Amino acid sequence: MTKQQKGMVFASERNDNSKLIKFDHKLHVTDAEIKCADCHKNALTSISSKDNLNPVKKDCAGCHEVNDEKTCNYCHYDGVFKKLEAPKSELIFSHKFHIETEKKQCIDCHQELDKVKFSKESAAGFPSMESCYSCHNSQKASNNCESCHSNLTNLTPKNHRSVNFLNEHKMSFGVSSDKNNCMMCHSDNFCQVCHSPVGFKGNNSKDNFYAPYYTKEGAVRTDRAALQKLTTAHTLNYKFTHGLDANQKSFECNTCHEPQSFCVSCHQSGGELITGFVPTSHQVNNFTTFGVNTGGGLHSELARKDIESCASCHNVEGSDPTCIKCHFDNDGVKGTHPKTHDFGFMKDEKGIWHETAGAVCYTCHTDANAKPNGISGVGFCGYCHGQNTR
Amino acid sequence: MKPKLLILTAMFFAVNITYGQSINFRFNNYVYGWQRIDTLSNSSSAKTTHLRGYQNYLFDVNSGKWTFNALAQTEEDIINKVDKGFRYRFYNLYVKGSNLFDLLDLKLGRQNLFAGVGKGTLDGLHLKIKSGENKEYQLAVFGGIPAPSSYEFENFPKLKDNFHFGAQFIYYGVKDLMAGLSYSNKKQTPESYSTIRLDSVFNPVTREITLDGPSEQLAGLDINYTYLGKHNFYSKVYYDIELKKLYRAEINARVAIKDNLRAFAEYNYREPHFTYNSIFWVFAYSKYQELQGGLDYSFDNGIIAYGKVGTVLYENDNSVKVQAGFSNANYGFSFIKYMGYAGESDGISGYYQNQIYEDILSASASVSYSRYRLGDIYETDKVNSFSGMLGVTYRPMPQLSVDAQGQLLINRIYESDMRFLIGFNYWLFKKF
Repeated sequence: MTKQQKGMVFASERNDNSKLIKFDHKLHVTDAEIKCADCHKNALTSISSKDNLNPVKKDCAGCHEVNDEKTCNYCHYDGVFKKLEAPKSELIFSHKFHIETEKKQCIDCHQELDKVKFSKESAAGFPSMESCYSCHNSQKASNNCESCHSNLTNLTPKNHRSVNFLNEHKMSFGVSSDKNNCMMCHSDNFCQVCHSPVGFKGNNSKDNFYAPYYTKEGAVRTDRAALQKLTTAHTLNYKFTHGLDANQKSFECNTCHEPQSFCVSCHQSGGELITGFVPTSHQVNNFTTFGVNTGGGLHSELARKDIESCASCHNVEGSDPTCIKCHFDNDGVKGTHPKTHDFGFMKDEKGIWHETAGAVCYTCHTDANAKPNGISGVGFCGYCHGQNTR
Repeated sequence: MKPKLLILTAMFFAVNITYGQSINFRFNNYVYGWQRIDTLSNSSSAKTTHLRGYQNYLFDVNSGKWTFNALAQTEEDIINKVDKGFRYRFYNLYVKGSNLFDLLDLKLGRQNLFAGVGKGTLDGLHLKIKSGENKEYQLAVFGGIPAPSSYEFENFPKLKDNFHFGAQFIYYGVKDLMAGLSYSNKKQTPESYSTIRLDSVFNPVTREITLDGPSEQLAGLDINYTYLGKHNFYSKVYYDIELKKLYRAEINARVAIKDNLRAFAEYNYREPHFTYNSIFWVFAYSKYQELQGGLDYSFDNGIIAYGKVGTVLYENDNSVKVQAGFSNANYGFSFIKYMGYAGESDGISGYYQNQIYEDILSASASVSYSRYRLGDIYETDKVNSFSGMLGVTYRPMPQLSVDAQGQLLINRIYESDMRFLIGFNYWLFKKF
C-alpha cells in the first residue's frame, strides 16, 4: 500500500525548514536525549493548530551560545536568519487537551522523528488521519468531520474526484480485511445513500415532484451533490435527463432504485402523470402494430434492444402490465396471438408452470386448461404435450 | 406525530438500557418552499406554492464492543398537503456487536447489506465469522425480511412470502488479494389483484392474479487484486441460478502509468435482470455490453483533469458517452456528451465551494446546463435544461451550522421553478 493510500502526507507537501536552519532531530532526541517539550515549549499550552510551535532563538539558548556571532554558522546558513515556518492548518486541534486531559505523549502521534533530521523526512512525523482515527472512531472520541475540520469545503480526497470513481471505489474497498481507510470518513450510513436497492420510493406525482431523500448528513457534507440539499445524488434537473443515463447504462439505477416501486410512481400508465410525460417514442406512427405477423412495430424493436427501459414504466405491482392488452393467449392455440417468446422458449425447461398457479405464464395464458397438471394436448398444455397447434 | 414520538422513545429507551461509553447524535432540520409555474397545464393549479420540512436523525450509542445505531428521517408538508402529508423512514435500526470472542461480528435489526450478490435493506440478522492469523478468512451469513420500500414499520408481509437469506465467503489474500464467493436467496411476492380476462371464446371473466413461485437465487464471484499498491484489477461474475443465466460480468483495470497519470479500462456484460417470475423475462430481449476507458492526470497544484469514453453495444445499435473535465478540492467543471441510441445531449456543469470567512462562513454555487433529446429516432427537437444553486453555510461553532440555499430550475416542463431552503444541523458527541 502506498503512503498516499494510507493517508500519509507527502513530504513535498509540507513546509521545508531545511533551507532555513541546520538541524537534526535524531541528534537531539536520540543522542542528546532532549525531550520534545524542551524545544517545543509552546506545545504544552497550545490550543490552536494555527500556533507556530517551532522553537525560537531563546529556546535554543539553553544549550547553544546563541549570542556568539562566531558560532552562527553552526546552525544558520550564511545570511539566513528567518523564523521557522509552520504548516498551514485548518484543523481544530488543542495540544494542551491531548497532553493534559488525554495523557498523550508526543511520540504517540509524531512518530519516528527521532530517526530523521527534519520532520518532512518522516512519513509518520506528522500524524496521518489514520493515527487520529485510532481514537477518533466514534467510540473513544468523535469522528464527526466538524469536530476536527474547520473548513469542510475542500476535504474530498483526490482519488474521489476521478471521473471513474463511482465505478472504481469497490476496487479500493475490500482489498484488505481492514477495508482501507474508508471508515475514517464514511460510516455504514453513508454507503446506503447509494446502496439501497429497495430505497427511495418517492411520491413522484405532479404535486410532489421534489421529495428530499437526503441522508448524507450522517457523513461528509462536502461533495457537490450533498450541497444540493434537495437531491441525494443527482443534479436538480435529473428527473428530465435521467433517461439518457438509464438507456446508456451509465449507472446501475437499481443500485438505489427498485423499478417496480420507484420508476412506476411517475411512469405508470393511468397514474397521475407529470404533464407532457408520455415518452415521445410512444407517440410515433406504428409504435405498436396490431395483428399477427405485423412485427409489432417500433415497440417490438425497442423492447428487444432495451427491455429494461420498458420495465421501468410497465412493471407495476398489483395491476396488469400494459403488455397484457395485446400479449394474451385466451384460447391456447399457437400462432393466433402476438409473438412473445423466442423460438424454443422454455422448451427444455422444467418450468414453474408445472408447480404453481402463481407462475407468470398464467397471467397471459388464460384458457381453461392453463394450469398446473392440466390435460395433456389441450390448450396451453398442448404447446409442449401433444399437438393441437396450427 | 406518532412516529416522531416513536423515534424519540426508541432513543430514550436505548440510552437508558445501555450503559453507554459514548453517544453520537446528529440532527438536521430543514424547511424549504417552492413556487412552480407549469407552462403546459391549462388548469388553475398551474401555479402552486409548497412548503415542506424534513428532519434527519442519526443516533449511535457505543458501549465497548456493542453499538446501537439508528438513522431516521421524517418529513411533513406545512402548506399544500401532499399524499399523507407526513412520512417517517427508518433507514437503520440495529444493534451491532464487533469482534465478539475475537471471532464474530453481529448485526441485528434493520441494516444495509453488502455481501456480493446479497444486497438490500434487511430486517434481520447478519453474522460475520472471522478467522485466520490475520482474519483473512471471513464468512458472513444473513437472513431476514427485505425492508419495506417505505422504510416504515408497518404492513410487514408474511415471512413465507417475503424473505432474504444468503452467505458470503471472503478470502483476503496474503497481501493485496480479495476473493469473495456469495449466494443470495430472496423472495418478494408481488401484491395480488383482480382483473378481467377473456375465456377461450372471448367472454370477459374476473380473475384473481396471484403471482407466486420460487425465490430468486443468485451466486457471485468477486475478485480484487492490487499490484504494487497502485495498479488495481477487479472482476466479477454474477449468475442467476433459477434462470440459468450469467446476468452480470465485469473486468475492470486501473493502472498508474506515472505518479500523476492513471488510465482505466472497463468491460461490462449485462443481461437484463428482472425479479424471477416477472412478466418481462418471458419476452425476447437481448443483452448489453459496455466498454469504457479514460485517463486522469493530476497536476502539482491539485487540479485533476480527466477524460472518459464509454460505448454501450445493443443488438444492432450502440450509444456513446464522452466525459471530460477538471476539478480541484474547491471547484470543478465537466462536459458530457451522449450520442446514439440512448439519446443525444451536450451538457456542462460546474461547481464552486469555499470558505468566505475563516472557520465560520462558507459558500457554494453550482450550475448545470444541457441541450438534449431522448432517443435518436423519435425525438427531433432538442430541449434545454438549466439548474443553478447558490448557498451559504454559517457555522458559529463546530457542533452547529445553519444553511441557506436558493435554487432555480428551467426545464421542458416548468418555465421556472424557484426554491429556497433553510435549516440547521446539530451534532453531539458525549463520552461517559
